[in-house]
Amino acid sequence: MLNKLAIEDAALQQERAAAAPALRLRGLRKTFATPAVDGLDLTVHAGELYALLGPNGAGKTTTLRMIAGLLAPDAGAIEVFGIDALADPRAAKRITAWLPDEPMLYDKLTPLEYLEFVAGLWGVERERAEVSAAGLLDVLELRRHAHTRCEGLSRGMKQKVALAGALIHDPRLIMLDEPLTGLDAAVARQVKDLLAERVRSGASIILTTHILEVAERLAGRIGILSRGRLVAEGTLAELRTAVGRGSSTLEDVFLAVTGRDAQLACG
Amino acid sequence: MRLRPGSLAWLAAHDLTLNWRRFVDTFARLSPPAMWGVAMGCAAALHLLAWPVVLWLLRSKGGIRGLDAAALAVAMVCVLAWMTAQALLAATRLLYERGSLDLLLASPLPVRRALAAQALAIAAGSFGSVGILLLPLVHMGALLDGCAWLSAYPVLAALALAGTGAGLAAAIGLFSLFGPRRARLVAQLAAAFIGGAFLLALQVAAMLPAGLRQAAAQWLAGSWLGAALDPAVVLALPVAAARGDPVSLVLLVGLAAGLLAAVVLLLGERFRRASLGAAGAGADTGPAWRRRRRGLRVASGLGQTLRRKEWRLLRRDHAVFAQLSLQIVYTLPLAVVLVRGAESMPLVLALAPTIVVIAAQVAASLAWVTVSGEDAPELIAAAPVRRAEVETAKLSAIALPIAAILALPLAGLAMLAPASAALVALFATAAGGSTALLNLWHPMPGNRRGMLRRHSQSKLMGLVEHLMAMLWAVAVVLALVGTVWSLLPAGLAALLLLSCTPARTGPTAAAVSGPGTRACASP
Repeated sequence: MLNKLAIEDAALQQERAAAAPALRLRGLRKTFATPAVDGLDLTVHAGELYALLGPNGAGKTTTLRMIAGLLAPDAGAIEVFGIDALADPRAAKRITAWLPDEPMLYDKLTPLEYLEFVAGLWGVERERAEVSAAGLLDVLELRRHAHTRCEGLSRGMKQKVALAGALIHDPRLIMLDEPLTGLDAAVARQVKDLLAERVRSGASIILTTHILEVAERLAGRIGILSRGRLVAEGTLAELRTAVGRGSSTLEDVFLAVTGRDAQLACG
Repeated sequence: MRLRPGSLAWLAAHDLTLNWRRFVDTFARLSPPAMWGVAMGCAAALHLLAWPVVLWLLRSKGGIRGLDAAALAVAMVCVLAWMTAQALLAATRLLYERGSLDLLLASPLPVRRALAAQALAIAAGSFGSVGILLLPLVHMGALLDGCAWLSAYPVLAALALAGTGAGLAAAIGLFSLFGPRRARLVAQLAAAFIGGAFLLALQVAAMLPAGLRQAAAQWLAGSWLGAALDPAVVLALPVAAARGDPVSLVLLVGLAAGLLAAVVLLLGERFRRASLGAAGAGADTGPAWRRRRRGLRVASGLGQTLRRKEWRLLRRDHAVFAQLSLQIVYTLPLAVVLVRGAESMPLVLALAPTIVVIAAQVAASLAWVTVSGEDAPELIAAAPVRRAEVETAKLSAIALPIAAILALPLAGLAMLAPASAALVALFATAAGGSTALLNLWHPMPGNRRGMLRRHSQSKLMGLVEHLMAMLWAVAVVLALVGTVWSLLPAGLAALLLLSCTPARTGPTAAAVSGPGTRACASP
């Protein structure tokens, strides 16, 4: 009877997850000395790449860290594919990946050992992990360095190893904080291609970046944060229309929106 | 006065400023007035402690000139050995930890000048670390007996310069001998033994049977080695300098500065080449057979995953390995002192507290390395794992290395007295478990290379850790003697541990705290 209930519950959860958006934030709030995230409402649809932009200190990283379960919000709700991430963080973590701007690596482990470790943490079955690791090492051209300790790798290589680790459990929601910072053009292209491929295969991505060209080219929708609040959101075309400059670039839109918000803040 | 940019004095001042800031950072949690209050209080306490010692010296020896030459010489050799070990460690760290050295080597400054500045900073660090304990004695001596005591300042400075020269030369020599991959480990082990070995050798020599000691002394007296090591010849100059003879002082400081200058001038270029060689040491791909054989091997279960990772990191972390050796080497004299202290004492009674203290120290260090020194705390915090699972796996991961370290002395003890060995194993487990739990419950985030300096994060935690080890050591001795009073220190240790139990309600997870990071994990 209990088993049957559990199966029904799991089926219900799956059904709910299938219908739910990839990420839904409601009234999210976090205050340090001053409010870092101030009543944020945001939705990322399934299969979408969403770029979260904002000036330094706008609350982008704090938002992602709260979604990843690394910071407890002061108020608000976080849902990942219908799962309440604050009530059931483990269930939410199982289907998400978090990649900060500084790679979370162990200098004394090789990339292969790192992938083994991450696969173990996320409880990926051995066969699936092997296939997934082999694919990621090939796609990211890490095979040659698979047995070199991470301390001997370049910044770009380390970032690729961390990305491979983030993707090894085939997450449904991928959160990337400045994933292309410090990468050369070739490595950046590999990462962008891999992200585009993941979106095509159904994953949802939310990324922060200061490289506006990346958001312009990759993102389906763009959200602009300023002082912890979402001050503009939409496709690039929608943002252009909203700002009132039909032919402007994302940089123009970004500067206009954040500049206007800063003026409002100054009173 | 403004120093000329790029000059030796300017570079040295820069390095000294950095050293000073690192020292001040150990009081980071205190406000500046509180920090100065603590510093002044500690200085006053050390001077108060020094006062009766100096009074006793004056009554029994009649003043600085009456101090025994052999005792002075032994003290200076110990200080020199310790300073050499510190310099060897610092020079090795400099070679591998790049950062500021890269900046200096990339600048158009002469490499010897850059090296000289670094060497002076190392010497200043050595001077400070010994001086903090020794100089209160000197000040009280000067107050009660006259200014001749102040000659300790230049003598200590000379020892720091000579020790730095020797340590620097040793670091470069080891690098040339063993190459970039092995030199770091060898240097760290060598430093551990240089630092503790002289004292240990003296203790071991004193433990030898009288006949053997006499025979060795006779052989030494008749050989060229004995003549060369005659304290009257080798140590006459520093002893005279320590007693305040001005000519000897000038000669000693001149010789020490000359030694350091010679090392910098002769080995400066080699140091530059060594630092370039060290730059690629991280790109270790391991032996070819391992690369061919290994594919992805995912561990079954979280426990095995975490244990395997911790064991790999511990095995490959030269700094941790060397620092553990250092802890063990510095603890061994305890057993020697105990055996010497009571001729009739059974060996078991001398070894038991040593084993218990080593278990407590090693467990605390390893627990700190695996918990507070976690390189990627956010990775674990972001994973779908329970905090308790992580903590259990980490504790079980450190149990194996501790067991490996203690296996030999426990086996030896078991051959002498099996029942006592079982009792010692029990108390060692309790001591190790207590200090490991303490570090697990109260993480002190820091870089894993700074294992021995981990108590700079919290002096109170360090005190509790040492007190716990001592209580368990006393308890095991009393238990071996067969008195129920052993329950008293054991109970106190248990109470102390219980009083340190953390509140489990907050989002902060001990298991996922790392350098500069606090992250929340699934409860």
